[in-house]
Amino acid sequence: MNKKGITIVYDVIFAFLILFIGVSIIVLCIPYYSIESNREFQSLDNILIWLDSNRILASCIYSKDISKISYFLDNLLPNNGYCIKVYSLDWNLIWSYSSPLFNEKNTISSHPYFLSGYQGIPNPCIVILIISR
Amino acid sequence: MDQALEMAIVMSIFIIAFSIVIFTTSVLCSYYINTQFHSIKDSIASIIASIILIQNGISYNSWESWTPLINYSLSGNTYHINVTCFSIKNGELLLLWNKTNGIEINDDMGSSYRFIILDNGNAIKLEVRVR
Repeated sequence: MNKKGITIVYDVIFAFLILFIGVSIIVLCIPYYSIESNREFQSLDNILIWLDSNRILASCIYSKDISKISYFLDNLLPNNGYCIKVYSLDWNLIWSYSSPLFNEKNTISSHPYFLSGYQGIPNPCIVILIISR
Repeated sequence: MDQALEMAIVMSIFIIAFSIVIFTTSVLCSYYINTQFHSIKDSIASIIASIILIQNGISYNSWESWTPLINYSLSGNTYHINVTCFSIKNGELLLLWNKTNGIEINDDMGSSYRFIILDNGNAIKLEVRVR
């Protein structure tokens, strides 16, 4: 085997190595459940509608009452992690809260909800509820 | 001597690369099988949750009189069904009642969750876990 042949073998092995490592990193890092069908979407919508219709959601969101909203969500959601994010209409994050069990890589569903204001004062914002496995 | 050394180096690199490839492939395969398995169990749990939902709809009376069945015989799995009814009064969350089929599963392989708003303003949290 001459020098050139050995160099080609090195190159091929090295290329395969990089290829396999790259593919494995990509496959292992893709959060599988986030690309799965969004089964819990309707349930998250129902929770936000129910809390809003009982005047809980707006009062917690606008007063940033994390203990109250987490008390409700702890009881109403399954024992997985969840995260609630509040954005302005130009998508600036106002505040967010993540439960201790929330794992962003294992997100299974999320749902946006629009709030127009509180106690007659217009102050639109977007609430996003995310749950993880 | 030089050629023998080069061959030895090439062979050792090849063996190391081959081992890494085999290891990576086995990890990928096990990961894929595991996610597929969880996905199937999730689907089974979702089917059970849908059946319960179809049985009761959004009627409070229907949910209140409903008894969780133990014998959902679907591909020999074990199911944990938990139904909780909530109400909100004066800004406080009230737990009205809770029904379970009595089977406890600690290490579930699939689960499904539904939240339903009932016709009288109360809400139902339905959890189905499968092993």
